[in-house]
Amino acid sequence: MKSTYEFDTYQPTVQKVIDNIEKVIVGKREVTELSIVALLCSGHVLLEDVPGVGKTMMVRAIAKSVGAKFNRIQFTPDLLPSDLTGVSIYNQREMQFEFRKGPLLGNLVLADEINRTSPKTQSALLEGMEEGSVTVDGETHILPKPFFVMATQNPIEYEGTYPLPEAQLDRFLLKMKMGYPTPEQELEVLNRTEHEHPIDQLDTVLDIDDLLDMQSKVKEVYVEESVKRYIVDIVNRTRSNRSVYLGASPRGSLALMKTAQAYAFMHNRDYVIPDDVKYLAPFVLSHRIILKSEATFEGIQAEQIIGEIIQRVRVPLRREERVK
Amino acid sequence: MQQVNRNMDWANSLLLYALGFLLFWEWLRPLTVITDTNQTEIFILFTAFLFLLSYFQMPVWISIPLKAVALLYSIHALFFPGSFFDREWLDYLISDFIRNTGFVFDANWNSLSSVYRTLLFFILLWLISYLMQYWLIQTRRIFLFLLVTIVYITVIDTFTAYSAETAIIRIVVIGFVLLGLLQILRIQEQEGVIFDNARFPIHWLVPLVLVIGFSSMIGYVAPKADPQWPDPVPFIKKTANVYEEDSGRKGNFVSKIGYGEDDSRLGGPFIMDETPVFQADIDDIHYWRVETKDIYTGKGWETSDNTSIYMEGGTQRLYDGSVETEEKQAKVMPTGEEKYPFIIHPGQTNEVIPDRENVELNENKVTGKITTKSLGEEIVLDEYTLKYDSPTFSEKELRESGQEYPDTVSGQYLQLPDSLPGRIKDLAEEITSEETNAYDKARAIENYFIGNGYVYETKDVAVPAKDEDYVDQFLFETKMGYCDNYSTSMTVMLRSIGIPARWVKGFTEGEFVEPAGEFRRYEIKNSNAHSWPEAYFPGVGWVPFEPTRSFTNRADFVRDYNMENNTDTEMPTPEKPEEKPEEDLQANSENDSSSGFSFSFTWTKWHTLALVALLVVLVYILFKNYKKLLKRFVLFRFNRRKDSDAFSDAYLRLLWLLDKHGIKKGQDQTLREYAVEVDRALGTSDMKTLTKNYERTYYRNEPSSSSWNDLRKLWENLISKLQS
Repeated sequence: MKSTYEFDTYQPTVQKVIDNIEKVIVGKREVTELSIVALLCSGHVLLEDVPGVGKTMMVRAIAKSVGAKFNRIQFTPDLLPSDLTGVSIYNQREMQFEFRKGPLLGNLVLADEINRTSPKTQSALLEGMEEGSVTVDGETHILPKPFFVMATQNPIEYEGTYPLPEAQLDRFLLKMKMGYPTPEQELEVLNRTEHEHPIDQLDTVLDIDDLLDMQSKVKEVYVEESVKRYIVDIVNRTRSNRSVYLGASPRGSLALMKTAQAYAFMHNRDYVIPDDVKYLAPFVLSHRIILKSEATFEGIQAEQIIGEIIQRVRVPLRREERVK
Repeated sequence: MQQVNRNMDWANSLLLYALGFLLFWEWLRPLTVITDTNQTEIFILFTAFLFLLSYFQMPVWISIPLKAVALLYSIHALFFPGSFFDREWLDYLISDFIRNTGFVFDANWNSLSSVYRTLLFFILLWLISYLMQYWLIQTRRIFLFLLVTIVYITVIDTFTAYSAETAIIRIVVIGFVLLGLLQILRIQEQEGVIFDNARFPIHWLVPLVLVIGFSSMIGYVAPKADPQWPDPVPFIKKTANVYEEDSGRKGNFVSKIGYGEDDSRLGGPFIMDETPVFQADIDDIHYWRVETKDIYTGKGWETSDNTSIYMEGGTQRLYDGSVETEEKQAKVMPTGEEKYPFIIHPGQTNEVIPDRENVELNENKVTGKITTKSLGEEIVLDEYTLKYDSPTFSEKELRESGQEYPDTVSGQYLQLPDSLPGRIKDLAEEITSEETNAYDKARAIENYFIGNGYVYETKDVAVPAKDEDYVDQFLFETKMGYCDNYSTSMTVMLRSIGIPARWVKGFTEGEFVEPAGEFRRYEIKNSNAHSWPEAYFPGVGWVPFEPTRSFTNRADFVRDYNMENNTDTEMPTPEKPEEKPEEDLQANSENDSSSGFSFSFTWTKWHTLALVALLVVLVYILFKNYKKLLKRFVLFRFNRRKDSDAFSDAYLRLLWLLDKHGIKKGQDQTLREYAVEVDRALGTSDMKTLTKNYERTYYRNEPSSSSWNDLRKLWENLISKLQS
């Protein structure tokens, strides 16, 4: 059995990253933590929010903290797949085609307003996210590691958007909302940026190798059988809920377990407790279910459904049969 | 089904329960008239108790034992004298239950004992109380019950002596108020109307009460048409030929119960007569004796000598000097409704003090009957005081008395007619074959009538035909009869095996009326007329027995012998208070018994109240403290555990205890969330620490890093804080 104390060395590092980010982003502890969870699981994050609440700043802060390359892509209706992945351009001097890397080939990518672009371009991004590689002109380019996409989308009620298909939403590990800061937090933002932007002062607190090391350690976090069952129970219930048209896929269960591992890791635990699962479930599952139109008309939100489901699932408390 | 909020205001539901109980009470009221029951208070109290428990909505594990205890107590109060905490009556009850359940399966309805029938009745009450609760609280519909109640009362009114004149008014008023209230509640629940402070709205209640009150008053005052068919009973009886065509072996006459002079032809049915004969102020219950008879003719009893002599210095001695007696006093007040020109007394009376001068008391030498004359005319005294000896028989002495009878006794009281069938003697010998002394033989015969198919019956009682013997017919053929059958049979059987015995006539102790100073006043009616056998034991005297089913021997017996020698245990009948010390009987002396009826028991209101109060207090204390006891137990159990699972088990036990103390954990709550709640409730942070350790042992599947010894402090601390 592995000793737990090995983990103690990582926790301060993670804490440093969080502190670093919080120098720039005021009062968004939850979003910060969840972003790091996704980063630790090599997953991607979908932020659903209006412009100007600090999404870009968040990704930049993360990138700067881990010393990774940061790219930002503003999605527009006329953006083409090659604008993301890069194109091969004919070099007249060398008489051959030469690949010009697109912005997608970075470590941390902010895909802004992802639902403003055409499905074709969206799928190019999503392929990269899923496969970890992009193919241009028959040539496959492996994306650098770590590869972390933080996509944002305007709430879909806004005009001129192409909602992401279900299959593509599923690729995002977490979906969350940034939300407006409170007046006090907003005041703090103003204070901090009065003379110069704090992002410029950020130090790199973690190098990429450390991050990759941590990503591999996260996978060692222990998940008890009953906690796995708890995860499966929750996901299963999304499939039988009467307001839900399409429930979460097994990928949802997988995502829930992985994020729970990362979350436990972040909190200096080498085992997952139901609290982790319970906390993460709305972020992991709400974008993976489709509500029935009746439910939508009634104004029910996916987060509410997940909340109700969690209330009905029994938390495992004791070993059913003791193994001696 | 629509889920309705049943959290009613306490006053609302109390009102509903009270009205429901009043309505149900109407079912119990006529019981005294239509059945053999005359102690309806117990049934009513029991029902009230059931309703009360339902009202408090106790958890099932409390209410069912409580109700069961109340049931047992009621049974005890109805049938068994002596202490409720005695094991013996319970044993009897159980054996009676088993025997009677057997009868039920054999469809042998006539043999069911009254205890068993009463038990079933109590269970019926229990079930009905559930039904009432269902109607009142769940469905909110009472109309069906109300309708059935009205039908029941009207039928009872028509066909029995019960007068439902006021009952019908009560039922209509209570029933309609209930209907109105339930309608309000139904509307409230279906329409989702919410009333101010959850009470019935006054602007609804007032019209309801006014309308019901007004219409009931109009109905009461208004002239009513005469009934179309004033009394259908005679017509129905005639059609059904009830009593009209009885012939053959059955009695073709119906006599009225009461004290009769002529006993030469016994048998036949009788009807009840509730005419009061006298009232008596006594401090010790006993049977009332008038006379004894000595000659059995095969059809009834006659007296060998009818001469009376002037009574001087008390009646004939019944008991020899060795019998312990206590002198007591009683005052007898004949009501004058029955002209009985004789003294009714407890037995060995030392002095009769009449209420007037010039009263001549003559005692019959054989029968012991004391006639009252004044100036040569038979008179009925208005009141007289008696000084008498109350005996306490020693069973030891009775067993050792031997069978050497004085000639006067054996010559007179072993008489039997020549025509007596031999099988009576055979039966008596068979019954007593295992007994070695006269007393146990007598007891064996007395007990023989319990079970063995003998039934108490007043209506369907045969009169022996010309060539039949009264005792023989009862013992072997009909097995149905009342006190005369039982007492005569026992007397004859005793004589057949050589034990002198005689037949005593008189009254049972009657019914308690009210306390009268240091005495208790009883009323004795014609229906209390009774007969019983008396057997002679050398050195002891005349000892009364009580073979008649469901009657209780009021004489005191002291069980002063070694238990090993006790041969009287084949049927421990708590109906015989022989093992009771005298005080016990006196304490229970408020008593009711009526001749010809099945109940004979000792009961005081104060006893019930005291016991119920005690029980309630006990249950309350237990209920209040069971958490404390649980805590102690848990602490004790885990204190000595050292194994690796001790902590996990202790933690889970703590969760259970917390739950019992009202800090409930939702199924969706994780341990941490719960720990926060617990810590907040108890003002500690220990639960959090414990939970972290438990999480590690369970979710990490590895033993806790801190030992159980370290954690136990926290754990104990938490448990001790649970008090509040």
